[in-house]
Amino acid sequence: MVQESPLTPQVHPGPRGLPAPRWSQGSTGLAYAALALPAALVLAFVAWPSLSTLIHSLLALNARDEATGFAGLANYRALFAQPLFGHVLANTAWFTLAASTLSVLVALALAFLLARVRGDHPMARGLLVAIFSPTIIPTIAAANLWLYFLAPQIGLVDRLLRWLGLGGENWLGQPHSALAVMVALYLWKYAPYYALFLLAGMQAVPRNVLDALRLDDPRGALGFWRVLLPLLAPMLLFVTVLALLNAVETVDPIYVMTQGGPNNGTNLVMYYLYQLGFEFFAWGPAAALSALLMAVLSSLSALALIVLERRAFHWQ
Amino acid sequence: MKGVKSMLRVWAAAAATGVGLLALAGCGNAGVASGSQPSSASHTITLTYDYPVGVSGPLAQIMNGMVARFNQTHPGIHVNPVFSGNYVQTLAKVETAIQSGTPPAVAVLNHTAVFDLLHLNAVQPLDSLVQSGDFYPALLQPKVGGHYWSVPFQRSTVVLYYNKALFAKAGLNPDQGPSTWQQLVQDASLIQEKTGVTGIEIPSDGTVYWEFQPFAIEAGQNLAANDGVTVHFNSQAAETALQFWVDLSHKYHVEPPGILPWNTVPDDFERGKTAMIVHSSGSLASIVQNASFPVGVSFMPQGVGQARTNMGGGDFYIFRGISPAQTQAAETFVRWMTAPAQAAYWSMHTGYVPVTSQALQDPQMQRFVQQHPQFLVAPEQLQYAEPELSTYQLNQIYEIFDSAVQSVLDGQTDVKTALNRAQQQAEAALAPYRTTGQ
Repeated sequence: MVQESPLTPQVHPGPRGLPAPRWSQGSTGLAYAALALPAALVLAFVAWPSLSTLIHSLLALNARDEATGFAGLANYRALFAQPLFGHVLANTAWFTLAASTLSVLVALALAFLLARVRGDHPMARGLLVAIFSPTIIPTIAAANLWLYFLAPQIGLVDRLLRWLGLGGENWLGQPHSALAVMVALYLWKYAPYYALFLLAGMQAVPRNVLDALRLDDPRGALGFWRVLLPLLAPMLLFVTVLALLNAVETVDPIYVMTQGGPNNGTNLVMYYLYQLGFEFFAWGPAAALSALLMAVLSSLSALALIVLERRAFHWQ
Repeated sequence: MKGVKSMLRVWAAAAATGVGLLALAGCGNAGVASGSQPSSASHTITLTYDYPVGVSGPLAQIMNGMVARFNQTHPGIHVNPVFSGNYVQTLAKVETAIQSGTPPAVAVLNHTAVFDLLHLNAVQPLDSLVQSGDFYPALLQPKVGGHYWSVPFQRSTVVLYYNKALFAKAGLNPDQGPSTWQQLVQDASLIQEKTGVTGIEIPSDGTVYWEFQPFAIEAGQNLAANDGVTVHFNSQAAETALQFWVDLSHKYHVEPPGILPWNTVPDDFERGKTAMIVHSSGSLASIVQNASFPVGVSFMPQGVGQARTNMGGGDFYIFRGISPAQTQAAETFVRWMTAPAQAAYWSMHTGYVPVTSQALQDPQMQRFVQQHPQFLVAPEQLQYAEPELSTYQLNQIYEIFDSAVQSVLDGQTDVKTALNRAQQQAEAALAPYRTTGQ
């Protein structure tokens, strides 16, 4: 389970003690040749655009995104002087904090529940499908679904609430509730996905540790805090970083559902980036914001990788 | 075994990416071939035509149908219609295409995008095309730099829709909407009292400045001059108008408080949830079709002076960077689309203003308006209509003003502070254009 996680390095040494298979002897050249295409793709579509963004952020750009000279840090100053920027940063901070914290907590609870479900139970498969279906629905489709869920009067949510004697609420019509809807959508979509990682982490806890726990700590409370949680900590940290990254990168449901509104209440940093570039044609500040985001997000990604490489699964 | 597996996986991934790239490259080439380069395979000139849909109703279908008819009747020209979202999204798409060197041949964009398009040096002057038609003069304002840059097509005004059944039920005259702000409030309260239905809804999300402009104009001053760099966001008139908007919800309690989305307001009206709405005349056909009650349409109720309104909607633009043959074909297309028969057809199926008096005189149109006199309100309104807010940095200026209004409706800021801040931000954004003139 653990080795199948998408971010685990895919290079496996041959089983120790056995001679390496014949085809792999002296095939370093072939290995590099095989890597040439992916490496070229990374260069062309990751490295070069990143570098180009960095360079652009230091140039004076006209409305056609053509460079007209060197600008120093003027684009960065212009970005911070934009009337909306502070508001957008505050929104993003709130959203990221709420979405990542809640999603990790929900994922942890889900993982513990799923760990108790016996795989051969007739309901197990149905349960798994139900829980994971939001994760595999494309966000654009999910956002459109949610627009129907939330439509005042006719939507599913309003009808359920009316059944409880409440309702009549226009959830996307007020800045705060609209941002809360975005958090809920994030939970719906990502919590089961993160639960999968945590479940994998739990299943990697050695059998004998669990057996010992069952004997020494039958009620489970102390064992959870003192043994299981520390064992899960690297995976938890990794999932948290993933949750942060996904939260900061949220843009598609915003584009579909609110276009940043009402009153810029759901204008998050990625949507604002789109707005700066493609609506305001402020290419300079847009490049500056891209460069800043690149720095923040790549540091977060690096953290996630380091956690996985150095600290994860050290009990094995 | 594991080594083989992972190797296979790498190859599979690489192969998949490679195929994906080829497909992308294919798209790119196809885009160029059908876009701005004349196709070499035949002598047919192909034109890419980007258009938005900004009001309610199945407008994309109607548009595609019209283009199909053009293609049938014009061998030698093939127009590819591309539905590109709302006005802002369509402008973004067109600008991106311009930057990548593959502009569409022709597009419908906001009439107000003219300053930004000129700043990009993106569009061709269309003086002869405009002068050879008999377009209503109000639709051609303002002329920028001595030229006409666009041909009026889907133009609308802000109108008041009202539910005649509810008016009758409340004992009001169903043949006439309220004619003053004061009467609007009275009628709305009376209807709420007698029928329990919400009095009025004015959209305040989407294009807030647009629905707001008639109120500002009626209170004495439009939101901008016609030079692209001067705005009047914190005028006495804007303040009076915004205070009236706030009062509708918080003093007279005839409008739901908070921010009302542009798209759901017509739905609410059609379902009888609100007795009156302020919306685009371009939504008329869809509203009349969907409502189960007789729909009244009237001028905007008057403020200080006479009843005024605001114009809006989109025009045809023809872009620079296409071949002379394509330019000629694009002109043929635009001339056909705005000819009386087509303009009348488009007007009847949408509610947009017939852009020429000949279109209004079209026999089919005349029969149609006899049955649906509501469709005459917008053309009659034209003589009282003022230009839509149009400046350089258009989307940013819209955003600044819309945020100001929304922050007031949302209860975060007071009227004066919000408008002063908006004025200041807009002046800062427009400063570079004021000094250079362009």
